[in-house]
Parts: sequence; C-alpha cells; structure tokens
Amino acid sequence: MSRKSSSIPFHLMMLPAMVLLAIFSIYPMFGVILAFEDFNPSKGIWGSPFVGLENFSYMFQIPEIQQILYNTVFIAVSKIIFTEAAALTFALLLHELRLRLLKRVIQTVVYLPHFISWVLLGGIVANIFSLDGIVNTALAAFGAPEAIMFLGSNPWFPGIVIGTHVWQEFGFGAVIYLAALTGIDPTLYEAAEIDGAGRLRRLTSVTLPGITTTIVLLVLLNLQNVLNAGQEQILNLYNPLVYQSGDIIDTYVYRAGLKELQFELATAVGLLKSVVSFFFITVSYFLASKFANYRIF
Amino acid sequence: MKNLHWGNPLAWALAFALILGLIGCAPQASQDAAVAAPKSAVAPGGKPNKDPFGPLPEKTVLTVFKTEADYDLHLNKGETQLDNLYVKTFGQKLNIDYQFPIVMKGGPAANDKLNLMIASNDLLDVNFVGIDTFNQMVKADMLQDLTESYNDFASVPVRENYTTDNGKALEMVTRNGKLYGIPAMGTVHNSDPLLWIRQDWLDKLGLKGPSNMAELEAVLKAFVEKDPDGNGKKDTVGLIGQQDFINESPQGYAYDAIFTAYKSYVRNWITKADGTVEYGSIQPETKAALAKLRELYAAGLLPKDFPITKPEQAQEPIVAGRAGAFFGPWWAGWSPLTDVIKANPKAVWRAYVIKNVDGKSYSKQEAPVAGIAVLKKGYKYPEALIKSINYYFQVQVDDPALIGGDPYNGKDPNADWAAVPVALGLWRADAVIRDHMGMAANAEGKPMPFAVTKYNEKYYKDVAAAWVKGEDWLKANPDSFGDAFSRFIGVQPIIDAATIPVFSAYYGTTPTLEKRKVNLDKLEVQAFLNIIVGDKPVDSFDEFVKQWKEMGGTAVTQEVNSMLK
Repeated sequence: MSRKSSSIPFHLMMLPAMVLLAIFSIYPMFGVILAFEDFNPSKGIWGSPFVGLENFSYMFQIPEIQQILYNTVFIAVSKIIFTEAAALTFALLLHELRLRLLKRVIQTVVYLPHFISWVLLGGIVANIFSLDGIVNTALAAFGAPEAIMFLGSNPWFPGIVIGTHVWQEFGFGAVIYLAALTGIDPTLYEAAEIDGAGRLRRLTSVTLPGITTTIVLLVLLNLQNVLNAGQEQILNLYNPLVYQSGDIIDTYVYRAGLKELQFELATAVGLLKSVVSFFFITVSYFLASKFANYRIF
Repeated sequence: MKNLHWGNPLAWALAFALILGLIGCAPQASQDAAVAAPKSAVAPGGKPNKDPFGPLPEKTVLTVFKTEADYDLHLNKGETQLDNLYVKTFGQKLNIDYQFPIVMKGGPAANDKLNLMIASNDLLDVNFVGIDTFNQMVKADMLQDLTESYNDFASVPVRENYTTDNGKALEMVTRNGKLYGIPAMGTVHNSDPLLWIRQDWLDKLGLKGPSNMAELEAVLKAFVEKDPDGNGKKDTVGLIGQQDFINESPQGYAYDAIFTAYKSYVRNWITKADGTVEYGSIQPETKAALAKLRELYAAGLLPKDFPITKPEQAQEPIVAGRAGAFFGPWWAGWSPLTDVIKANPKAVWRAYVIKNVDGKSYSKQEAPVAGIAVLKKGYKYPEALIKSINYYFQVQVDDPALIGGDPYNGKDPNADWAAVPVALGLWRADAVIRDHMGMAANAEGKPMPFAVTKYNEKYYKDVAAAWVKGEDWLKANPDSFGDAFSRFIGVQPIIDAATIPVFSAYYGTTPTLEKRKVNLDKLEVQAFLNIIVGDKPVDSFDEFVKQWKEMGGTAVTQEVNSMLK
C-alpha cells in the first residue's frame, strides 16, 4: 500500500469538519462587505449601496475615539500581563506541593470561576464592592474615614476590571503551566539535588528554563488580545460615571451598533479589530517560531 | 489559550457576518420615506365597510413576537400566555393560526433580539416597536401598508378610541400618506413623577407633605438625620435614585421631576418664545437644577451610589424599609408598593406633587405613541392584524357582548389583556384621569359622569368596592391593593395640583442624531453626573453646552427645526 492511499481515509474523516468550517466560518466572511455599505436590511447584504470607507472614516471621527482606544489597550494589556504572571506564580507554587490530593483540590477550586458567566459575576462583584459591601466594611474596620464607591470611581474601575479578570482566569491559565512543569525530566531535579542545589536554586536553574518556551509562547499568543478588553465583563460592571475609564471599543459598538441600529458601523469596527488581531497573530506566530521554536505549519 | 471566545474580535465579526450572511438577498423596491409627514392617512373615527370580526378567507398562520408577562394573568388552570381561551377563540373566529416562535422577557434583551431580527431581515409577522425602530423599518421598506385594511376593517370602537388624542398617534405612524402600524396611544399623566413618601414617618417627625423643592429638601434632611424608623441607627437613605436619572419621559426612581421643578425639560425638545425648537438639556434652567442636585448629593440626601445603581436595583432600599421617598408614577401602587406593603404592612405611603419655582405643576409626558404593532411587508391578509386588535378591544376594553361574549365570561378576576394573541395596550389617551373619575363616582355612590363601556362599568365597580373597604383591608389583600391604591391615592394628587402635561416638540430621530446620539447622550450624562457628584464645578455646565453644540448638537437642532416646518 502506498503512503498516498493510506491517508485517504484520514482525509475523509476531516471532510465533515472542513464542510462545517466552510459553511460557518468561510462563507459568512463575505458578510464583512457590510462594513463598506449603507446597510438596509430589506435589501440585504448584496443589495445595499456601497459607501466605500465612509463607515471607517466616521469611526475615526467619533469624538472620544482616543479615550476608548486607550481604555481598550490599557485594560487588555494589563489583563494579559497580570493574568499570565499570576498563573505562572501560582503554577510554580502549586508544583512544589507534595500532597497530591490537596494539589488537585486547589487546582479545581481556582479554575472554577473561569466557567461562571459575567452576568452572574457582575452582580457578585458589584455587591462585594458596593458601599456597604465586604470591601468597604473591612476598610471601615481598619479605620477608613469614608466608604469608597469603587465601581463609580475612575481611578478604581480599571483596577477592579483587571483584578477580577485575573481572579477569574489565573487558575485556568495555570493549567497549561502545570502541564509544562510535569513535562520536565525528574532526573534533572535529582541531579541538581545531588549537586547540592536548594529549592530556590532548583527553581531558577531547572524549573524556569524548562518552561521558558511555554511562557514565551503564551505571552506571544496573547498579543492577539490587545484589543479585547472583555466586553461581557465591562458591560456588566460599568455605568455612566466610569465611561471615562471604562468605555471600550466593544461596549461603544454595543451601544452604537445594536442599541441604535448602526449595524454597518458595528461591522466596520469589528472588522478593524479583526485586522489588528490578525496582524498581531501573524507577528506573534513569527516571534513564537523564532524564540520558542513553535510551529503549526 | 482562548480561541473563539466571545471576547475575541474574530468571533464577533464572524457572529455578525454569520447572522447577516445567512440570509439571502431579497431585492425589493426601496422607498425613502420622509421622517415626519404631517398628514394622517386614516381619519380617527368613522365606520368600516367590511365585517371587522369576520374570518379570513382561508386558515392563515400569523406569527407574533411575544413579550412574557411577569405577573399572574388570571387564566384557567393549565393555560399559559401562549395557549389559552383567547388564543383559541380568536383563532377560530378569525380563521387565524396564531404562532409564537419568539417569547422574550420584556426590556433591553427583547429589544436587542428584535434589532438583530431586523438586521437579518428575519422578521415575524407581527412585531411591537418604538417610534425610532419604526422609522428605521419604514426607511428599510420592511412594513406592510395598512391603510386599506384599516379603512376597510377597523371596528367602530377602535376608531372611536383613536379620537381621544385627536388622531395624533395615527398621524405619527403615517408616512407619505400611508399607515404603517397600529399605535398604542401614550396615556396622558401615565408617567407623571409623583413624590411617593412614608406618611407615617412624616407624621412621626411632625412634618407636612412637601409641595416644592425647599420643603422636599427639609423632609429628606429629617428622614436622613432623625432616624424616622426608630431603630436607633442612622441608616435611612434619602431620595431613591438610579443611573438613568434623566429621561425623555419620566421613569421611576429618576430625578426628572427635580429638573421640571426648575423648569428644565431635560431630554425633550422645547419650543422657545420665538417659535424655534431647542434641546431642553442645554437650557440655563438645567444648570440651576444641577446645582440643586449637587447640593442634595453633597448633603447626603441622595444615595451616594445612585450613579451605579441599575434601574431594577433601585427599589431594594424601599422594600427593605430603609427609604421613605422616591419619584414614581401613579401606578407605583402595583410596583413597587405591593411588594413593599407585603414586607412591611405598617408603612403608610402617600403621593405628593412637587411644584415648580412658580408654584405650578408641570410634567413631561410619554410620547403620544407608546408602542406600535407592525406587520411584516407582504403578509397575505393584512386585515389579520386589524381584526385581531378589533377582537381584543371588544373583549378587554369595550363590550364583549358585541362579539359573542368574553371567552372567560364570569371569571373573576378577569383574564389579563396580555393573554390575547396580539396584545397592544389600547387605552384611551385620557384613561388615567377618566378611570379615576369613574371609580371615584362609584365609591361615592354618585352617577357616572360619562358613558362607560360594559367592561369598564364592571371594572370601576370592582375597584371602587375594594377601595371603600379601607387601607387595612387592602394591605391584607395584596391582590387588590395595587389597583385600588394606585387609582385613588396615586391619581388624586395629579388632579388636585392640576398638573399641566408638557410634550416634547419633536419625537424620533434625524440623520445627524442617528449617528451622534450615542456620543451626545454619553457627553450629557457624564457632564451632569460630574456636576452632581462634585467632580467638576457647576460652571462646567457651560463647557458641556459648548461641546454638545460642537459635537453635532447644532446640526441636530437645525434638522429638528426644519423637520417641524
């Protein structure tokens, strides 16, 4: 049997997936021409008049576009940095634990929040940070003069958004690091121990070098998220008082696109975000292959 | 790694593209309707020339976008809002197969769903929309022209009902001489913001009910500082508030009434002395109102966290018994007060009108059109919508005997109107005051001051009978509390104060407003909040006015003025 014929069944197995991909991912991509149209639902995507780049130029004339872009990038980048840092630290700490059962339990508990929707979390967070919530009660116990309206305060709001995101996601992020850590050859540790290396020395000389590629890879792949500040989360937490520090591209598009029926604008913004993300994915892929030797193709 | 997560832009682009891409192209003749046409295609009043209650020529499916009612509809056991005697009987008599593929809780989510259906041109036959969405749909040529069906089939009582606002509502859904929807009229005084207040607290503190801002301030100060609930803690919240504190038509727990007290009509278009129309929020009167709100906030008389309180959370301190004052409509007796008296039967609530700086009472109103039932373009028998509404109107508002009686004949309390297949609140424009007069006449044993429908005759009697049993009885019977308490305690102050209704000079949108509304609204609410919570000085209002004008406000004002010419 030649190599070619033996691979045919495998290709056939891929066929349904490819068909689904074509129907649900590739065909709808034609819909992005909406971004260049003055969309009229009854005429449909193919019948609406073209307006060229008008939707894009309008987008950049939005008076507060700078503020919104700044908020988006600031929140998104902070989220990436702090989530990865927390996940890594947590994975390293957990890795040092000897009791397997305790390790499993902790790991499960910390990644649970990842599966809770922000519709629910939003209410919980709002409650915790409310004027008579846990945080303010604790602060008052330590003698804080006045309750702080955290979710209505521009200095605090981005911090809370980033902090609660980190809390929600770091446990899940740690799973990959933990997997990488178990991949390190145990004989290396034994050798290091015989050579007289202490715990800290083993961490810096064996553990960290062993997962450097994973760290670099995860950070690079996260570059695609620099414009994703978390629509679902912010939509459930923000309010007019913190538009200044919390209004991001996605929430603006939600208000303008869906509430005011400007679908073409929403698509234009979405397309722009996709293009930026695509750029970063490409860049990060090349960087990943260069620094972490990671290749898909 | 998170791949196609909902935070991912690609996912959003794909989702949008998916929704929009899957519908084929349906090339249809387009027609750009002018946004405002002065003439009405159909006259209010008059007679139909065909049978308004007759069956369709063949059994036809009518799909309806249904809003779920979140209260008891008083149906028979086992029946639902989608499957009940109304749906069955209407269907049989009119030869219509009612179907409800979409059932949503009301509010923003239902609105988002409808907007998505519009974007994908995937409409049900019957939808309920507001005036802005209506304008978009007319512009997109998605709606069936109902002129002929209305003229042929609308029943006499329905037509008469539309005379109560002098045909204003019908006029607002007419474009280029064609009727594109069946409107529910805005009800005058329906959302007038009354000050609902704990009378037992007032009495305890020896205060009288406030009638102007100075008195209100004194009362709030006493509530916050003098521990009216007597629990020994300084835990009383002042005037309840929420983040949507300014609105086109007044909302519950909002501060619209405080602006009105300073003769500021925020979010409305007002007519100046020279006949031109200007935006209410940028007038100097608004600045005075903001200065007062800032004072109240600084003094702790408004809840510190009102800007981050969502509308649906606002009533929590009231139910918990920690608040004694809020602005709400006459029907606050149903919500929130029915829940409140269940939790705390000792609380005595009364309603007061806050008069303006000249000692007169004015109130912003709902738009003359409260909701519009529209039919998808191309529906085979457009009269199906008209007939469904004719039928509902007989059963629930006019005289059921005319169409062979209410299917729920003799059921008490009667099945709710939300149970009919096409539920559109067709109350008379003057229903609030009129219903109160009718009930008051009943309660006092006087003759009815005007002719009433069979349905209302019984309704007035029932409510009046509950009312005369007294407040203690009502509190012990929460099912009857809302209606009787609202109708009497809620409406009387509006009549006593002779509140003058104020309508916006312009409803709907303009080309610039369509594009800039999000920005202008954001600018406005931010500027106002910054002043109220003390982040910026009161004089920053002038800066806001300047920015508002530059950001498109001037263009919008010009467009509104030219539309009105």
